[in-house]
Amino acid sequence: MAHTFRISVSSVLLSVLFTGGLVGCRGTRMGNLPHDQAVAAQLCQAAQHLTIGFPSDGNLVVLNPCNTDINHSIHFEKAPNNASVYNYSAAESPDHKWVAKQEAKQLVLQTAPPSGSGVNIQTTRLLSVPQWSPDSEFFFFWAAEDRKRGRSVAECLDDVSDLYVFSTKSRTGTLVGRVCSGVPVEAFRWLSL
Amino acid sequence: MGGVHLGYPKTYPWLGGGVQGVTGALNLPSSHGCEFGACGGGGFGFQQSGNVPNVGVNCRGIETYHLGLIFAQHCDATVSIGDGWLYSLSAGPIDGKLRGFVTKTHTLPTGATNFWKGRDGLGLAKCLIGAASASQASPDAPDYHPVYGPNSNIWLNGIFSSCGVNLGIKTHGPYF
Repeated sequence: MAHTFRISVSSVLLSVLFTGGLVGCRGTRMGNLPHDQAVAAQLCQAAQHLTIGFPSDGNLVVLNPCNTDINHSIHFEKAPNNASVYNYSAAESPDHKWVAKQEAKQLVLQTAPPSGSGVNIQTTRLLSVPQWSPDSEFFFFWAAEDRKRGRSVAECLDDVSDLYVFSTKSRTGTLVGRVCSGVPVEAFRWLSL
Repeated sequence: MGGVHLGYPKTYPWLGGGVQGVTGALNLPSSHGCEFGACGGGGFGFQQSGNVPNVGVNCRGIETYHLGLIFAQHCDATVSIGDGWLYSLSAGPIDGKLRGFVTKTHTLPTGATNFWKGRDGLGLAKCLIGAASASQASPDAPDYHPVYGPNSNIWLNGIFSSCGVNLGIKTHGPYF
């Protein structure tokens, strides 16, 4: 009886949440990480040969960095004949010039060996270690949803993970995409298409 | 299986209604499926590892809008066939379609409440990986609906159902 009551209450509340006005986008606001159009532009430019995603049985779940709608920039497409997957998940960049260290709720980017002050990257809760691009120009990481940014719960009434890309060139980063729970964020890598 | 009979034009085997009774090494108690934590040797208190065949279902409360407070949960599964890997079976929306994923990992999910674990589950583990892989490989996928399903929980229920295990997971989490 108690079970039935509990299920009924939660079902009703879910339905009310869904139909009662939470559906729809709120205004997009800046997150903690400095938003840099330059990073997005660099990524878009590199998209011809480099992007972020993972192979899924003959298909790709892949970021379109030229799509500035962060809620729809990660999509599903047929995998090309040739694609390389890079796995540089170490703190140090592949060219050994940078170190991205995880400290509590932030990443600290420093030159290697350290000289001068590093760059502190404040985020929501980190969900992954940094993944370096093969040319060491970028790294990406996943963090818990920045709730100050709007999204439609009609598309995902679940927890969301945010994908950030950071540029060592400009020393700034930006949110480039997000996925709903169930999409395995730990599978994402840099891809050369 | 409320979310799978709402008039969808196509049948997706991994959304339920699949072959019953494929139990492998598990001895399921009856066609009614397993009771909470008691599926043919399942239960609490054993550690999952990639070296021993096993099956685990992990559910965690949804943080968004504090939905976990009204018992809404997201569930996925971690299984091993004893080859050293843990296989994560999950589903989520991409482009508005519900896609299934099988990924190999060495790490157990964190922050999750394990609501079911089955020991001696080699046959079931293989069946589940096969069913999830078939879903992943399918060129077609159903439209995702976060509330009424199909969603990630319905998908997981369907994967288990196609291998003869009734998890009892509904659109917003397990009944217990």
